[in-house]
Amino acid sequence: MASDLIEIELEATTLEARGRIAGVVRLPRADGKLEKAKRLSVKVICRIHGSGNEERIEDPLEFQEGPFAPGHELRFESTLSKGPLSWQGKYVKVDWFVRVDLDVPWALDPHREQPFQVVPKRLRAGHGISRAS
Amino acid sequence: MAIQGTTENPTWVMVMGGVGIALGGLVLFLGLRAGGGASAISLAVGLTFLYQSVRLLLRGLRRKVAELAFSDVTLELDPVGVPLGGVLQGTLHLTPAKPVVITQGAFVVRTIERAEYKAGTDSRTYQQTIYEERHLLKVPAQLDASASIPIEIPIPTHIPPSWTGRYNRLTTQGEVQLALEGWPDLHFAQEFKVRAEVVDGQ
Repeated sequence: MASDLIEIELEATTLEARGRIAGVVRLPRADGKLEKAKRLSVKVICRIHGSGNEERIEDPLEFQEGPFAPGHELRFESTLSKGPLSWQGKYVKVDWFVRVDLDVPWALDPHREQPFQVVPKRLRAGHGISRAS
Repeated sequence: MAIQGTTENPTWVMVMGGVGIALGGLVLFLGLRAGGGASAISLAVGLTFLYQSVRLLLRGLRRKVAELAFSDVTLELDPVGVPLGGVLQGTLHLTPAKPVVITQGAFVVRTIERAEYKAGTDSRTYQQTIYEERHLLKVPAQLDASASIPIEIPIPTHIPPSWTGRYNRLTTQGEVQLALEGWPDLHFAQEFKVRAEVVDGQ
C-alpha cells in the first residue's frame, strides 16, 4: 500500500524515450519509522503486463542511508533506460513509474509509486528523414 | 527458391499441417472405434483439427508453388528501421523463372501485439492485429527479367514502436502480396523495426 510518509515530485510526467528524468523525493512528516529507516531508494520501473506473463525493467536511480529527519529531500536525475513506450493495448500494457522504498528493519517498508508517460522522441524532419504525407 | 527473412517458413507450415492431419485422423479413428458419446466428441474435435490442418497444409503448399514462378525474390527493408510518422524505404527484387504476369502487387503494413502466458503446463498465447493498411505497389504487369520495385510506405504515428520481450511483443511487419496469372498468389511477410521516435510536425 502506498505510504503518505513519502512524496514524489517529478519535473515532468511525460518524458521522451531514453530522455531525462528528474525529480525530488520528500519525507514530509514526522514518524518513528524515519529514525529507524536504514535506506531510502529510488528506482524507475517499466512494467510490461496484460494477458501474458509480467516482465519488468528496473533501473536503480539513487539511494541514501538513514536515519532521516522529517522534511528530508532526495533529488534524483537520470536517463531512462531502454524499454517500450507507454502502451495500453488489449493484451499488452506498458506502465512506467518511479518507485521509492523506505527500508525499515522489522517493519513493513513504506513505499510510493509515481506513474509517468513515455512517448516517442521527436525528430526534426530533414537530415535524411522522410516524413509521411 | 526460398525467400529469406520471412516471418513464416512454408516448409514448416506444411509439416505442421501434415502432423495435424495425422493427429486429427487418429482422434477420429479412436473416437469412432470407441463408439457412444465419445464418438460424437471425437468426430467434432477430429474434423475441426483436420479442417484447420488441411488449411495449413494448403497455405504452405500454395506458397511453395508460387515460389516456383521466381528464381529469386528478395525484400530489402531499411535495417535501421523507421520512425513513427516516417516513410519505410525498401526494395523488392524479383527475378522470374520464366515470364510471369503480375496482375496486382501490394504491401500490407501490419502491427501485432502478442502476449504469452506460461505457468507450469498451462500455456496460452494472445494475439491481435492492432493496425493494418494495404498499399498498392507499382509492379510491372509483365515480368520477363529481373526487376527492382521501390517501396516507400508511410508509417502512422499511433502504432507502438517495436519491442520484443520474453513474453510480450509489439511488432510490425510488411507483407508482400503478388497476384500472379496462372500461379497461386505469392504472399510473404517480413518484420521491420519501428523506432521509438516520431518525425516532428506529426
